[in-house]
Amino acid sequence: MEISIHKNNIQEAATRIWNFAKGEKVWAFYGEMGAGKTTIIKALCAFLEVREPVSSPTFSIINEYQSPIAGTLCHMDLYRLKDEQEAVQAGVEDCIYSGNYCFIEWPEKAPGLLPHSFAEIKLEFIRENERSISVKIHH
Amino acid sequence: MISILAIESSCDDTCAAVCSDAKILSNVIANQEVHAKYGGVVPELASRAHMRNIVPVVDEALKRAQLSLNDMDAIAFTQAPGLLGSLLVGAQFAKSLSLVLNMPLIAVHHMQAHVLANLIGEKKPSFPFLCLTVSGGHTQIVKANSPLDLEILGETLDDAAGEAFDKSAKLLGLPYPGGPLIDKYAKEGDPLKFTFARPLPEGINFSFSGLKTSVMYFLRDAQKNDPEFLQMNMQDLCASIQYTIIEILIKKLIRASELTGIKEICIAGGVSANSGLRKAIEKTGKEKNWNIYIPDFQYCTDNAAMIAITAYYKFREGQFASLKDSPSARALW
Repeated sequence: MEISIHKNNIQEAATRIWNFAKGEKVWAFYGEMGAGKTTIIKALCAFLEVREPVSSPTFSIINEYQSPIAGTLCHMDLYRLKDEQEAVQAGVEDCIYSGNYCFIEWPEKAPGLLPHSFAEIKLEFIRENERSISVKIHH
Repeated sequence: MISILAIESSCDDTCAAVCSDAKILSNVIANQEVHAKYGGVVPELASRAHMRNIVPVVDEALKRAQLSLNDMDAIAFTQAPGLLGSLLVGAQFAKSLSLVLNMPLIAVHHMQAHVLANLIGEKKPSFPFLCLTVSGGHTQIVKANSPLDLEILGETLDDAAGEAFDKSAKLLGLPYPGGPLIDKYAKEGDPLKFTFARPLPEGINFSFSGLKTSVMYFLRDAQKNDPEFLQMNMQDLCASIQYTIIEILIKKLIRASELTGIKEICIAGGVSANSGLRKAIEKTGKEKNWNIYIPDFQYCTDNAAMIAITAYYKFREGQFASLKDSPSARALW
């Protein structure tokens, strides 16, 4: 699925992405700094009726939220990690294989930890307030 | 007299402190310089280093306080939030001591402790006061009604202020930690030279993610036309970025003060070391007739003295933890 989204219709896009990819528990979000990874995850969490503040896990590495629709959600950011071993030590692997929904920013830091089957979400810059998003399911 | 040994290991520093009542007798910090070369705190290195540091740090804290473990009335530790592996080291150490010495255990929330760091020392705010806590992982405005009755009025919806400094520094090609370098270069730059996005969400909440994105696009375009742009404008860029972050913080602090009518204003957290922020708060304080409180620098960054002072107030209220209380990476307040 490929869509281009404007900041103003991000909620609508989040709904479409959810319906397309909800069969997968692990979602890997690719895109450079400022591409909007945290922003689209915030929109997804808003759609999933998460009540807690959804903020960047760059510092905390793993945030956990509760959603009445999706259950426990792990929001991870591997930006500060060096490799897979460190991701394992930080508890990333435990989350990925917990059966909970996992939204992972900077998954390229630990590609070997991704399960066989996952949703790949790529964000690209078009212009200010506009991004293209491609969603692909890997089996 | 109540004496407490406090341990803080939520992130990259291993800290221990001893207090007698509300007086801090020692405050020891073992910094893990190893992280700088990786561009950030590395969780595994952090927890391993905590294990290596914790015994000598606790020993040193007791030695400087001229007390022994048996003189203590309670053992306190940081329960949340932080890196789980790091928190566990401090928590297990504190629990073991509490069990062996048969002393009460006190679990402390790191963010509450940052606010109460303002109660260390001679010049204390009177209640109720407002505290702007700014660090690498947090940005909050808290209303303190009493030592243990704190209320979060606003917090960041995305990136923390410290993260905005560090990520902007990375975009500028500066080494980690970038915040202090931005502060240094900003002193020689023009804060109004460049304008960046200034997201101001409703109410007292903060947002810094748009600022980071705006810096990124600005640099990308500017470097397309002039590959030397970064080097030629480093001071002005740092000054303008710092000015923008501080302006966002101050605007929200003013709003919080207007909404609550409180003029006792404190700052806390590692970013309160930023000289631009200190100046801006003092200037605003003069204009608005605020009483400004900034803890000593050693009590602003992560430290165990703030855990000790918080534990002292919890001790007085009989708020003890059990051995079953485990640390949490992200506990709600």
